[in-house]
Amino acid sequence: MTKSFEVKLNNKKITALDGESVLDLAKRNNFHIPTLCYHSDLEPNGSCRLCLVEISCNKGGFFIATACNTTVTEGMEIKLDTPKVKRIRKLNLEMLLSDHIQKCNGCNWKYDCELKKLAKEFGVTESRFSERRRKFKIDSKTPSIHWDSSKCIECGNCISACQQITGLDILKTEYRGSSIVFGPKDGKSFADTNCVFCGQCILHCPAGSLQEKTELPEVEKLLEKKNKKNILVAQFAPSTRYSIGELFGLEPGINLEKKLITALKHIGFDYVFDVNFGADITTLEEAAELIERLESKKNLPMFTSCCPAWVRYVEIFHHELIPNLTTTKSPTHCLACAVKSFFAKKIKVNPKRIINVAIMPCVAKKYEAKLPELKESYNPEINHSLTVREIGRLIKKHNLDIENLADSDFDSPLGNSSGAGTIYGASGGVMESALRTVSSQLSDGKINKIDFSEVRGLDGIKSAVVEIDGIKLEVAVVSGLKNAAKLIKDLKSGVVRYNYIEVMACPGGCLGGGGQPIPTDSKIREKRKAGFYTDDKEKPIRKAHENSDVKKLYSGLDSKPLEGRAGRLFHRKFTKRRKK
Amino acid sequence: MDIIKALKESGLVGLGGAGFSTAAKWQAVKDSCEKKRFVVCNLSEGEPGVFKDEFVIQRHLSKMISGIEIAAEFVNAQKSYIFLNDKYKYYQKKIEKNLKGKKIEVFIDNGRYLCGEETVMLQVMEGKTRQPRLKPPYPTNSGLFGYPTLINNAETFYRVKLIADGDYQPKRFYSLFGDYIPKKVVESDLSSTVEEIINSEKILSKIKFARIGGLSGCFLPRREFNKQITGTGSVEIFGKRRNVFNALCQSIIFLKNESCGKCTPCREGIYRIAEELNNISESKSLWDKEEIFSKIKSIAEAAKESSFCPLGASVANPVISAINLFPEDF
Repeated sequence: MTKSFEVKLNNKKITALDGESVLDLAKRNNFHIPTLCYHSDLEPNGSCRLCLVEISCNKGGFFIATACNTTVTEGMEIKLDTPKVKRIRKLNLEMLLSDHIQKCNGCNWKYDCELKKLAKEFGVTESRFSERRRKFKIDSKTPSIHWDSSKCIECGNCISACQQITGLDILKTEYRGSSIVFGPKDGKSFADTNCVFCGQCILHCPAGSLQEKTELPEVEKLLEKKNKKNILVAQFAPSTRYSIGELFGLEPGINLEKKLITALKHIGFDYVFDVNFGADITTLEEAAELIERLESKKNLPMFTSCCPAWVRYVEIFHHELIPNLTTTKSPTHCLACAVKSFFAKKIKVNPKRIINVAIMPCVAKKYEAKLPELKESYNPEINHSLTVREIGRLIKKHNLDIENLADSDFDSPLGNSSGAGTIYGASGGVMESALRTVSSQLSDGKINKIDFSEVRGLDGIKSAVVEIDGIKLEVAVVSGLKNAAKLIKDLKSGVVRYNYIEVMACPGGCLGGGGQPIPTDSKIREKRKAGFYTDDKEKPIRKAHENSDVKKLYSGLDSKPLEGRAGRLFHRKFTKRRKK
Repeated sequence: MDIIKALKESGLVGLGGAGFSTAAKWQAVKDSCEKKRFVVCNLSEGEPGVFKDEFVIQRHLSKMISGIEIAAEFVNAQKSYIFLNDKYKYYQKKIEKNLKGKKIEVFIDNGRYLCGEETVMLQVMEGKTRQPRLKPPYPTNSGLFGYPTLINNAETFYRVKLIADGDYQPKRFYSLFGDYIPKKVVESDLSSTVEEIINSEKILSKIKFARIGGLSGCFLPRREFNKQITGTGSVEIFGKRRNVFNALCQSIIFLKNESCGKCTPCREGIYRIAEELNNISESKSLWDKEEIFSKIKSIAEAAKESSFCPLGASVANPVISAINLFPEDF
């Protein structure tokens, strides 16, 4: 048990735990301290200087300190919101606001701006200072990231996220003092770095300086339907439905798929399909591939390749692991190919007329959709990839209250999915889905194990040994690229040995993805995760290979997993990329 | 001989500016549980108005190095470094000649002003971003590469050697320069006043004000010259015709260029002060001026109270003292 002692907060005696920060103490006791650059995922930077409190240690004089990075000590007396604190933090905020060029339209924070909220709270009505960063750099060269340094408030969270979560060193500071710029190393564009586009920096940016590169204008233009020939198909990812509600003030983890379908149809999409169905295809293909590799003992351990950021990481940093990646495409692309082949044939249209718009919790998907390797079957497979935040903005623009919309169902026949597809969005989900199918197929249906709870959860690295009909399968599940780098190091030094490894670049898997609503922190991730597993339990079919619609698809394509048309449609190649 | 006892008796404090008890610092490093330890001699002297450490290199180099050795032996350090500002690069050969056979290495960097903050210096030595670290943990617990590190100023090490030899007197070096006086280093009592340092009635009669403690120090009018000098021990004097406004601008431009940019009050604050000073010279009415003064003062207060590191807080010194003492100069 941790040591605890008494401290005084606003003249009230409360119990503090050893080692906790003043901010945590205040939060635990329902005191409010305004924060801006603080994020519970990251070590506090202490750079915005807004979470000020007055502290006295052991009856000494009071001095001003930041709550986020001051540890509580015995005999401490803390005062919140003293006139001095109020005066200083108001001025600090005023200076930050004049440092931040307000480009509110199209900003991630448009409806819920932290800066504006604080300005209201502190009573900052106007800035007495001139805008000084108007002409700062904007970088929009990559398909995923839009970086606008004129909005930057120099808190340094992007660097912390890149180092502490992704484990890469893409972002740095340049220059000093008031001309400091937080961005890609040496003033480069993101396009000239080894950035894998996981988007964690975007998720942790409190000022909207880092954002996804929006594709909304193009999509909106398509939705006007000037070209009558276009058939607009929307598909959304497993985790989109659990987080979209957050943008409308709902709790995380509520499944809003039926409302979202109605909203998308209302906006103007002709068909809405479920990426969960694509996930079932991926599971089937990947399970077949795993069985084949286990039998031939080639290219083991097998790594998943659903996560485009992870694939890019391997393509840049670990060329030797490229053969170990499963060649199965990610669920979105599997579904996109199914739509443009099987479905197009069914409704008797030319696949070229179909416009696929994917709604993803991810910014790396934007990059993936533009890869030439993934344009081989159809050019392109995914026409536009939107983040959850973007579709939220679009729905708001149409004045739809998602909570009170009527329910609708996915379009047939690519709509029904198994529980295995549902859990794809959580770390360990791809692994569990594959294990359900593999264990059943390897044992000829004798083993009917469904719950592999050892691979679930939000821990960075999880491992398990699964025994199927005499075959021992050692598996590992990793989320957060920093943990992946650690695992690869361990694998190479021979400390650990695995047959099958799932890697997701974002903490907790797609549910903590770079395209998810902001804020995202560990509590919110936990709630989103709960949504996945409750739904999985309630599904009548929980194994991908038992999904009758998938069976129909394969008979429609007249092939089996890995073979023939399916082999061509649902598998991809990888490219060795030069390290920059 | 018991060096720590001697240090305690002498009451020696760090002579870099902060004035922390040397004995306490040494004891803290010695008492830490980590085996690996470092000693760093801070010779970065980035403050333009301070040149006493250069004087130590010129005159008392071997004593300073002995001081480092005494410290290294006391805290049981594996290795010691001399962090040398590259404006003193031409002393490198001289220093290294004296380091033969010793476990001391010279580390050269264009440290500039920021390296006066010891955690920035550590960041630079580790090859990281030039920004201060959060304290605590103090370098005495977690310093260079996370190991306990004893950091002292060059002059402090020189005084340590004097204490070890039993030659110590409670004196320190003062950097003195400005109008009517060529650059010189004066050794005088710890409690010396400005008058005592200048020590010439003829010059004193021609002085309007002085800047104490380098460009980040505060301004002192002639009538307060009987005050004790604290901090880095630098005195810059200004003649009757000089204007405090220009001197303040010089300070602010320097601080603005040297700010690391980590925290809001220092990064934004100094920029805005500079902007407002510019506005002052264009302001027409007294009312305008009052408005600008109050803005500058509130920014200086925010910097003093809420900056991440002491260097940010020091912005308030020149600003507040100049505005309070010589409002007619603006």
